[in-house]
Amino acid sequence: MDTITLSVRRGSPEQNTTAYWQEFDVPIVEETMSVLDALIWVQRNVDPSLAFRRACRVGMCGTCGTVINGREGLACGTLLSSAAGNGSGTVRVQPLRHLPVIRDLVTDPGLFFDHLRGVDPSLTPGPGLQEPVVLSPDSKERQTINPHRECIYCGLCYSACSVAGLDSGFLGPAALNRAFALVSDSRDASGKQRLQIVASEQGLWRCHTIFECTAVCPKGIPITRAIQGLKRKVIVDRLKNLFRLGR
Amino acid sequence: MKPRDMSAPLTSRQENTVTGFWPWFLQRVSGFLLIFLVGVHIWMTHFSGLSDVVRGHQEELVLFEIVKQRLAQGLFIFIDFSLLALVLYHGLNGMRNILLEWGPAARHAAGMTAGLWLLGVGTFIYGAWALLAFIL
Repeated sequence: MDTITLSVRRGSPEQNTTAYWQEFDVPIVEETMSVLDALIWVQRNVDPSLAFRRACRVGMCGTCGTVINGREGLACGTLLSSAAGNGSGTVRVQPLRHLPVIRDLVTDPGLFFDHLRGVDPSLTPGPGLQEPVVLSPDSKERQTINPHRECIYCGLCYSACSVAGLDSGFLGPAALNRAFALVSDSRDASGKQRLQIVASEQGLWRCHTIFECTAVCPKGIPITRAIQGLKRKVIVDRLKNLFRLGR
Repeated sequence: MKPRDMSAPLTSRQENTVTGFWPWFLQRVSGFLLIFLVGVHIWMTHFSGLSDVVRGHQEELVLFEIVKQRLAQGLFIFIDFSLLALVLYHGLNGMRNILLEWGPAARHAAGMTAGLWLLGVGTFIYGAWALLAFIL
């Protein structure tokens, strides 16, 4: 049976353990074995103390986000064989960037969710709306917001964003994407408030359109487009405001 | 971060306290205008044939008299002053953006912005003084 080398970044900063790389030889039991399967194999057969998060195993929950061979990805959605095909036959797995490591591959997503809370990610129903409020599937509005509602909050975009790494106050791609989905939704009554929140030095204007968030999103959400869309909305809003003041 | 009460309407003051919009917006506007003005500047300096006023010279010369003659015209005065202001704004605002990447505290960021404004205004005055020497 073929084996690959799984190299895992380990350590527990809370216990003052210096981070280190540990290698494990993992048999490729099946061609469809994922990186998450390999981690589970190591935990069950070699080292039960290996810490990582997982839940659904089918790419729906966003719990098993890690950095695989230097690139953010869901461990459950990354085939071991394809990840090992980088020439060295070694798969390097490390925790998400820009979030504090609790132990091994487990990070504290508190900051990520704080930023999400900051844009108030829930829909504020407009006055007079009667349930059920339906947006036709073929309407332009529905087609605009649909891809942006697919977010599973895995944090891969936040980890891949260089700006988030430099400035922990930056709202981050996921929060801005959520804000765009809500601002573009006619059923939401808090568009102005939300635009005011995101149009800040540590919000929209800090994004440098690097596209890393879009590149790593496991759901293929065009996050950069959302951020650019928000910028356009703020520009229109500001200029309208300016000309109204001028009268 | 404390969640905001989203059901409360924005006051007019809140509506106008959007931060960071104008520096971001004007950076793009100034960048766009600079592309145009730098083109005009290069054309004016090297291809407009203004040096032809110096008779008897085979090569193109940048002489004080030529520059003075050019700057006596309102359009060129406007272009050169605009170029000076836009270059300074675009450059220093870009510098501010780079410095903000380091995530300075709000107090330091405000001081930094004020410092860059002072530098910009000071340099503009110096540049304007140099230009006026040709005009006056």
